[in-house]
Amino acid sequence: MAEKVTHSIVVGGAVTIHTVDGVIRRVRPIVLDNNDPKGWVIKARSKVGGPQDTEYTPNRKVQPAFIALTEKNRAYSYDRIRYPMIREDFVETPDGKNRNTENRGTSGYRRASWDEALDLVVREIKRIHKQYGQEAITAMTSSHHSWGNVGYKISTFARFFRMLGYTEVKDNPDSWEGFTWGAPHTYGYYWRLGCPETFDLLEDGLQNVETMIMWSHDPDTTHGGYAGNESVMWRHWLDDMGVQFIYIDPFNNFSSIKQADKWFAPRPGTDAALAEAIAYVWVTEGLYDKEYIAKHAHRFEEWCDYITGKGTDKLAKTPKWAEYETGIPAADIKALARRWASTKTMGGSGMRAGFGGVCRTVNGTEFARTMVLLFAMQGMGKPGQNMWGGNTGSPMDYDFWFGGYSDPLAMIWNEPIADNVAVNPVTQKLYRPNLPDAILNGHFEWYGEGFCGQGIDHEFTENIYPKPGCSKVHMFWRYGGTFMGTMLDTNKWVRMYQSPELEFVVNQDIHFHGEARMADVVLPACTSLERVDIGELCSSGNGGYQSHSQTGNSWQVVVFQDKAIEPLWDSRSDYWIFAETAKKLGWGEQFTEGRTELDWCKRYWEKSDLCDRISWEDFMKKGYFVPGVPEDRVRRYGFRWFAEGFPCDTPNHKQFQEEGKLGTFTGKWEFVSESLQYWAPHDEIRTPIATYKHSWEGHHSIKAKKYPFHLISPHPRFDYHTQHNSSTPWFWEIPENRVYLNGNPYLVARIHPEKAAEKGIKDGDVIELFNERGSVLCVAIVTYRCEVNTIHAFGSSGIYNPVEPGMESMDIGGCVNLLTPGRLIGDMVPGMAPNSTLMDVRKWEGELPKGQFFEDKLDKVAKEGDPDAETCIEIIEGHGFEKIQEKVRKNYLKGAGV
Amino acid sequence: MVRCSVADPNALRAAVDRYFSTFTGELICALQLWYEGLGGQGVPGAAEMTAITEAIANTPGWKDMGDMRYEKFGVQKSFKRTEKLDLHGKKMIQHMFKREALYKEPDGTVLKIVTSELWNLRCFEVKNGKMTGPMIKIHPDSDRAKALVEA
Amino acid sequence: MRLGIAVDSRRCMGCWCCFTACKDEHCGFASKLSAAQPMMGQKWIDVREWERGDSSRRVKSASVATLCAHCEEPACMKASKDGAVYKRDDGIVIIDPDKSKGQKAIVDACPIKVVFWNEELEIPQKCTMCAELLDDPEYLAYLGDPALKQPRCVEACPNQCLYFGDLDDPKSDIAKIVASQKNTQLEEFGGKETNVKWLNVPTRFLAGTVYQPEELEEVLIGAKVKLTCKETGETWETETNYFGDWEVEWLPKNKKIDVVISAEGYKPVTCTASTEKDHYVGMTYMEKA
Repeated sequence: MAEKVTHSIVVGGAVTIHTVDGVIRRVRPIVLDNNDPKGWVIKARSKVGGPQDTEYTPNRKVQPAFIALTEKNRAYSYDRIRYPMIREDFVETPDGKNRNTENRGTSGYRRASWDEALDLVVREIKRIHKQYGQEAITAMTSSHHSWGNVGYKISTFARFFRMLGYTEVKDNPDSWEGFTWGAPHTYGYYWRLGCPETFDLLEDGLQNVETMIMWSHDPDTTHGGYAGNESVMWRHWLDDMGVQFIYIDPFNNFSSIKQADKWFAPRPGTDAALAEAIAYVWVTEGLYDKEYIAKHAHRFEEWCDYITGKGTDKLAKTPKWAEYETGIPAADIKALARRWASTKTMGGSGMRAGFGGVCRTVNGTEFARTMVLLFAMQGMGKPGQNMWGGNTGSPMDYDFWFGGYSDPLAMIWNEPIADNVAVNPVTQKLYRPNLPDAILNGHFEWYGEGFCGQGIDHEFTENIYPKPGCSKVHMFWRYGGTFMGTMLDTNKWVRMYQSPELEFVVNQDIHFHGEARMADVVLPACTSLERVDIGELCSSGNGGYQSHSQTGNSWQVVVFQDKAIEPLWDSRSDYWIFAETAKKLGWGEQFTEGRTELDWCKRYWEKSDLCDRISWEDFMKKGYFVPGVPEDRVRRYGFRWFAEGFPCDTPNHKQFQEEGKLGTFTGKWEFVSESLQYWAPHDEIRTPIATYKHSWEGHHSIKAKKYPFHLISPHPRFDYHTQHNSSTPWFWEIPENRVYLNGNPYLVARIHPEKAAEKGIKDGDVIELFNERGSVLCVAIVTYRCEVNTIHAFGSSGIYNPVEPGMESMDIGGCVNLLTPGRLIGDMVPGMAPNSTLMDVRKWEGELPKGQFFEDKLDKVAKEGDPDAETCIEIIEGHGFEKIQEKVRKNYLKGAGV
Repeated sequence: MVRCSVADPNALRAAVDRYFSTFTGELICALQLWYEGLGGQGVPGAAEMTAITEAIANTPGWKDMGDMRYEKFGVQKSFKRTEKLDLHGKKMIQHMFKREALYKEPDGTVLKIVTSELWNLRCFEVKNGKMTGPMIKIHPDSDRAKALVEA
Repeated sequence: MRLGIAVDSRRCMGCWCCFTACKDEHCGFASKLSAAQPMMGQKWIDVREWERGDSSRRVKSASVATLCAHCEEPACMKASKDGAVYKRDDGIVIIDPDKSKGQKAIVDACPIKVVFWNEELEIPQKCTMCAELLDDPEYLAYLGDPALKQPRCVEACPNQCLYFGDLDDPKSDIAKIVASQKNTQLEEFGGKETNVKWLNVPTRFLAGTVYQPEELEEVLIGAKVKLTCKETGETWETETNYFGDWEVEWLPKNKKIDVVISAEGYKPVTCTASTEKDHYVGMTYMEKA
């Protein structure tokens, strides 16, 4: 028996992997040993009001979320794509027409060899180039389906497509729209895409804070992005010392239900009204930091006029008014406002204080801006007064540099990692949320560059597809993780895939998720456990848009993501797939620069501080490196420089911050936004004064008469985007997640007891969520945790099971984005608003549809390769997993014997 | 509502001078001066822009650079400081060492600064237009840093 | 030596790491001490959760990691034949995967339903406290320190909710946490000793909010709330906080409780509430005296 221990990073955290005889035996947290450095120590109170005499230090293990502990399952999962596959009724017509594209999603597949599949792909690339030009190929990555600086989405993928030339699909900031499109017009931070800097605020919080405002924030669920459970103890410490946690969310979320001292449940989309009413109390009662405001605020008086009813709308934003909008009693709103103003208060929205479900509503920008202003009114940057959500800002050695995934210096298409920078010659662009609209209508116009971290002006660039002089796109290469569960109005995506406009569709993925089932050629990629890579836990880099996100960890840890097992079945690493295709296209050598994947990994060691701290051999042997935090560390509290007026000393700052200015036009808190007045004076969705506005899909809409419920579909607790729920049947046994009925894992949807009674719905009933866009079957949880008009069902369902595959049919996979609106928040606010969805619900009286609907396709291809192959249902319920492991083990031992 | 009347050339002159006396930036445009220096509110009109542009043009130590892009304001007619920056004794690291800029060492080595933080400058040597070799770390207070000249 | 696990329910966030780590260890893999756990259907450690409260004005949840209690006198052992269930010297209770074949009585004997019937193999199965790993000198030997070896559920817990160690050693973390926290052994054991200790599993709360007269739209801070249980003679006192909220936890179950709310200058309000379930008494609007 040969047991080896390797390490990896996955979206759920860092893990230790035990492999025995060529198969993965178990996946564990990284438990630090005595050679690893000491943890940081923060001296703070043990009770609010008490002396700073207690030492806080993290557990000596790097704590992943439970999803990370399922990486073994993701590797051997039933929905793994095992072989290259070609759609059965795909016809390689020489002109790209008549290819039965309408059958995409319905048709089955046949097994192909790598050569056959890649030769076809290469022939099609050449045909498209000849027939239309380079720009007729488009390609798009997932949102975080794997980890590792080499194999990650914007590294290897970008290297290949930049060299090939392609129409890039710009990502929208789908998790924090309102902060990206709103907050920079109030306080800058466009280079952090609207999120604040939270450096060293864990220490500040532990020492000073008395009240935490968790506004649309579920830290125990969102895990600081990719930090797993690294920050959970911090909130236990705060809770134990008596810090008051106030949660504001239409759903009493999983952090709130455990730690809230008070839960407020505004009607979805009305949070800006609540914020304005808080401001009303402060303005009328004088409960704000007047000195700070006098010094740092721009056009505050005008804004006060708006709040107090002396503005153009002549409407005072009283707590009573807000009660009508939000459903929260006026008396409670006043109490909230006074508590916030009278104690040291930190808080924010969502996982980096600038995320959260509210900012994914039509009123998201206005909420984000108003909430930011509330923190400003209390002297943001002073001790205990800041935007901080209790899950970032741990002590860190700022003098240790290792590139994170979104750091331009840490990508294999760019120098210094590569010798030659890969530059995309195509300037035509597409925009992700509207990709189907652009394909289906042959035309789309929009503002902005998606992620506008390079400047406020980038929000207002004018884009048109097709770009004058350019061809439309006719080939689509999808890479990793499906968007069927995360982008809105899913049926729009189905229509796109079935359009003959897309003459050729390639999907390169690990699992056979929604979009893979729409492709003509499916290329099986392996998991990050089956290849080598290198990466840092929860680090998007020190120069990326979420710079220093690793302060969401207790431990900073760089990991040699060693290959635990060989790629399963015919799967290959993404790097191999791209390198092989490049070779067939005639530029394989330029693509690889003569390097193997391991060579690329070593480049990251060479070009970072890692090489000063540990030898390459020791690093590979140990598998990870913890730089540690020096005991005499320098504190760099977020916003303190601004509040106290010294040149900015926090990392990742801008020149003007050193001059004491924010990133707004005036350098101050803009209560009336000059940048919006300048760039978008006629925008009615996002006005110079942020105002609570009725949603185009909300309780004031006509539609509400027919579809009276709000659907909120927050980021999932039991998944990471679409990556784990589908592949891990264990999760289907968690009652708060799914219910496994009749061979199908139904998503749970939550409804308030009062409304459930009206609808005759009982706990555990199968219910249909529906509106004019589609319908989804779920299982009801009747709960007081829902605001009374709200249906809660987690978004990002990795499982999409339309009852009629390939049709715009009812879904039983829990893909509630079938119901969400596909339109942008506004013409000039190119974000999406999944939490502005109206719908209705009814008890499902019909028979349950049969189980899932795609396994037969996988089973058929698997049997072509191996008549003894394990079927999907065997892997889910039977001994398929054991049989697969047994076969691989046998092969491994045979090889080991030779 | 303008705190300083642009129509009054003397008042404008005084306000511009006052702004420049503490301004530490390298580049300036009329819009920035309007918002930061004059307390401007709302988008300035054409006459106001002309008056401010002229006032900057007439300020010694600033030269016309034509159109330049600002992250906040987009492309604007711009002026660049011609004399050495007075940082008023403050440690403003990115004013002293600009990110993404090239610097020359006394021996002629060209370095590109990829991050400039108070505690470290991180650079790569640039040869034939390409970043080569390992990451070079230079403490901003070190003699080596002091010897760097913007290339 | 008495190896045990303490479950501090107060700390549990319901993150399911313990459950997942246990599945990862045992599903599809047999050991000397147990047959493989089937891929679906068994929860050797389950996070049993229930919603607390009958109003959106005050709702919480309880999460209780529930696994084999490794009882001092296991009911399953008593129900077993041929020594199919045995207790090791370290206190861990093991079901022999061979000897237990066909003995469904072992499943039925468990008071907290954590022994599962494997239809296919016709054997009862349950938590081994990862004894097979604790026994294995090779397992985690690379970490150097045997103290770092813990059952998978405990190792995976990020919330300091699960503690593992020797209950007989007063210096152990587990002994300390058991000594310092509210011991709330599950009712199903009827007071019998177990080596898994449940701490801080909640009983009942009563809560409410007190307001000034309705037309004023103001909460009432600092109102006195007195609870009395005539049956047991116990009383509890609290005050309304900055939200006008009051709450009393750890009330006895299934009792009638008299509630008196008073504040200077207002007429007292009285009512009776039941602790059959966790209960929000209501929004109380006081009248001026």
